[in-house]
Amino acid sequence: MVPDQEILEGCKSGERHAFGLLYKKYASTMLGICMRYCKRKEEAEDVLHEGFIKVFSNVSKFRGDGSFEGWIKRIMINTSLSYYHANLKHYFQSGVEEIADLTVGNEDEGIYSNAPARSELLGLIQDLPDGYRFVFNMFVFEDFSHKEIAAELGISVNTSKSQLAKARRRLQKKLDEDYNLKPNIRSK
Amino acid sequence: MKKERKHNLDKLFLESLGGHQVEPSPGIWESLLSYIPSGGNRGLFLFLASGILIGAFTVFMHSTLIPDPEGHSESNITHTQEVAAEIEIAQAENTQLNNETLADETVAEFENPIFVNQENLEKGDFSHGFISYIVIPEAEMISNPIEIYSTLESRGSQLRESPDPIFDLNVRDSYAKKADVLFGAAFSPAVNIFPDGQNRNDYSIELVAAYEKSRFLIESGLGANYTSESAKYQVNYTSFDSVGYYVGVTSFTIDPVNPDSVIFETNLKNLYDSIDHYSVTENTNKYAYLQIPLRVGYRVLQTPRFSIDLKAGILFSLQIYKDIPGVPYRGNDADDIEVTRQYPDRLTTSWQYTAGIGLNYQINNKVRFTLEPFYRQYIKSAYSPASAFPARSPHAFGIRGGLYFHF
Repeated sequence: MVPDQEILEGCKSGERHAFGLLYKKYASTMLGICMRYCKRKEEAEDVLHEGFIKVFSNVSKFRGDGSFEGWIKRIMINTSLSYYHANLKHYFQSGVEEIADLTVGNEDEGIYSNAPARSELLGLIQDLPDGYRFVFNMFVFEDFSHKEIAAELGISVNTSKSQLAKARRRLQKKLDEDYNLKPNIRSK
Repeated sequence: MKKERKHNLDKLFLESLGGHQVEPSPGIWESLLSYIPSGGNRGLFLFLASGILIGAFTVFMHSTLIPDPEGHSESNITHTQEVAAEIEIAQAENTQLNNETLADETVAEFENPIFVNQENLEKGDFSHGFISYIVIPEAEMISNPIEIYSTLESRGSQLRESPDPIFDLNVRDSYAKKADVLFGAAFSPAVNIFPDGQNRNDYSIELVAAYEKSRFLIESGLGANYTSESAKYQVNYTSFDSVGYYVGVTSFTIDPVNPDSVIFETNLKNLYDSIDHYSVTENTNKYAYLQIPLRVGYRVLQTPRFSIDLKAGILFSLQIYKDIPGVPYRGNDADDIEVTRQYPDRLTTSWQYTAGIGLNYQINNKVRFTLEPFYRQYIKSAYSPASAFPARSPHAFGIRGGLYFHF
């Protein structure tokens, strides 16, 4: 695998081959990320395409403050969010009162066995409403805090918490129904 | 660091999908190619270098063949005044030489109908074997310079139309000067030189329109190009092949003559087994392109019939046809075939720069024959950089022959 530094230098020099290596190295991983944010593979590929256009045109501005992969990943996530941005507000409903109905379980409790296949889990995420899906992805996979999610999506912290709770509840319900996996979210 | 604790549900998804990879459709990369920012410094460098070379050569030719150390103005009046001044100098310098042949009045009588052309007059160069000169009274020159200039010009034209013209790089009445807009057709065979030594020919036909003004020209048109290239494949397969033979016993009998011995009935049996084969096979891929050239040029040499142009430009190619026959042989009884392509993908569009020297011969007032040795190089590689194999960037040498018509 060609090191990032070498790819970066090639891209900054305008070498076409370096852009090919960049795409080859990260396209699969980034499409995996986009798939979590989008409902279908076709949409995810649109986002991937748009994201790589941004990567290609801005790669010369990458200063190396963080990891190159992290930088590309952030562009893909932002592109995914932008893709749905026109209808974004529609999907978020602030529900402070609903948060009280749900608490996050102890992380030591419960161990999942006979977990569904990766594609089935991906399908469960893709089936979530957009608002739920974005918050769940950003919180679980990207390690964003609710404050960061709120700032990123232009919603309140409570809305972010509410969306996460709803997403978990829905996912748990599906796992319970379809795969007979015991819920780990306790209702008060 | 966020304070929220993660749920086991989160862990389930994170562990399953955290490093999830999905292979994108091949079309995505194809469509991204046009968004790769241009930074082809090498191609640009080569293009600029060829331009500089052409420019330097042009300046060299110009300074060598058309000396003009005095830097005369193009203004007719200024010309006339300078001509008058230099004629005066010439008169003084040649008074003794021409004393007997010069008349007191306007024009000398010529023993031979030779006339000093305007350039020689401008340069004060009377050293081309002329024995007689025009002599114009100083007063007339000062009072009516334009008229005098016209006189010189018209007589200069007489000289140019003479059956045995003096070699003149600035022949204004040449055929080429009249042909401002030309249309032509050309055929160009070329040799593409690949880094791996697999050189291939390509052939182009082209319809062009050219516009010429003064010494400059610009031409464009539409062409078609046919080219081919070597396509290698690593082919690994297993086949059920003979690995030898053995003598098989089909039956035996007791020898009736000698009961102590046994007679064996045998036959030769071939032995087969699965054999792994590793081979590289080669085929030829064929491609056709629609091409749009844009060339600019400068005429460095012009005689009445023969001229030389230096040309440089760009060539856009769009793939319109491809024939990729694939692996030529896989073995009839082969099994577990594994074919790995050993060549990169060609892009559907490409840009090349081209530079050449056009050698033109004016057949008659309407038709010109051109022979143009040229060099061609891809500005960016014609091959997809996403391919597993390094993109090849062939350059080409060729010769372009064609006819241009002036309607």
